[in-house]
Amino acid sequence: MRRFLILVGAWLAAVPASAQDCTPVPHRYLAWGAPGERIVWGETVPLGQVWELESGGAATTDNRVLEYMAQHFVPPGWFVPHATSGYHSNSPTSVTGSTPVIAFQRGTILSAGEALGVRVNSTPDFATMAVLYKVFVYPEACLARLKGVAALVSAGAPSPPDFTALLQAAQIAATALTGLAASVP
Amino acid sequence: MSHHQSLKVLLVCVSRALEMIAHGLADYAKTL
Repeated sequence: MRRFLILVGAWLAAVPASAQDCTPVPHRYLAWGAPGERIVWGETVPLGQVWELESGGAATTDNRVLEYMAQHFVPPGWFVPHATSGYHSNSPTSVTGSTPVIAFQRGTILSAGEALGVRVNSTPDFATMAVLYKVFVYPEACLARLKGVAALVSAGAPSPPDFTALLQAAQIAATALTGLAASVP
Repeated sequence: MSHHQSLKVLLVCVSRALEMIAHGLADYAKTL
């Protein structure tokens, strides 16, 4: 009886671990580049995660008319154009120190090893700019759910169930029962 | 028939039934 309870306990403990938790976990990031730095990157998505962009972009303290470009870094080393390049000018009276200049595309899904960044076409006397965003973090296995497709897509026929272990167990149990029956006087 | 004999028959029946179910499942798996 005690062994049975231990088995049931072990099974119950194993169930939550095998279930995939796709609860969105919010994550926020803000990083200013150094003065004169004309390419600023966000974080690289860690292995085993997918990120869904909720909102984000770049802010600047430079008040000149400049071209800002958002880019999506995709391994092995591509800088995929991400947002429409735009021109920006802070009027001298409205420089607040963190004017938004370009937005990342909302809903973008970033895979492990990818990152979002912004570059600006400017002379080296550029002031500073920041990359900031809010993403939702999920385990990599949630990608199918994020994309709204079935998680399990099989190319061929599904493999038949394997009853070998069950057959073996049944044979052992049957032998034991037969032995038990033989021992009954 | 004594209780012991009944138990013996029951055990043998359960044992055979187990074997048959297991073999039936194995055959069924081959048809999938």
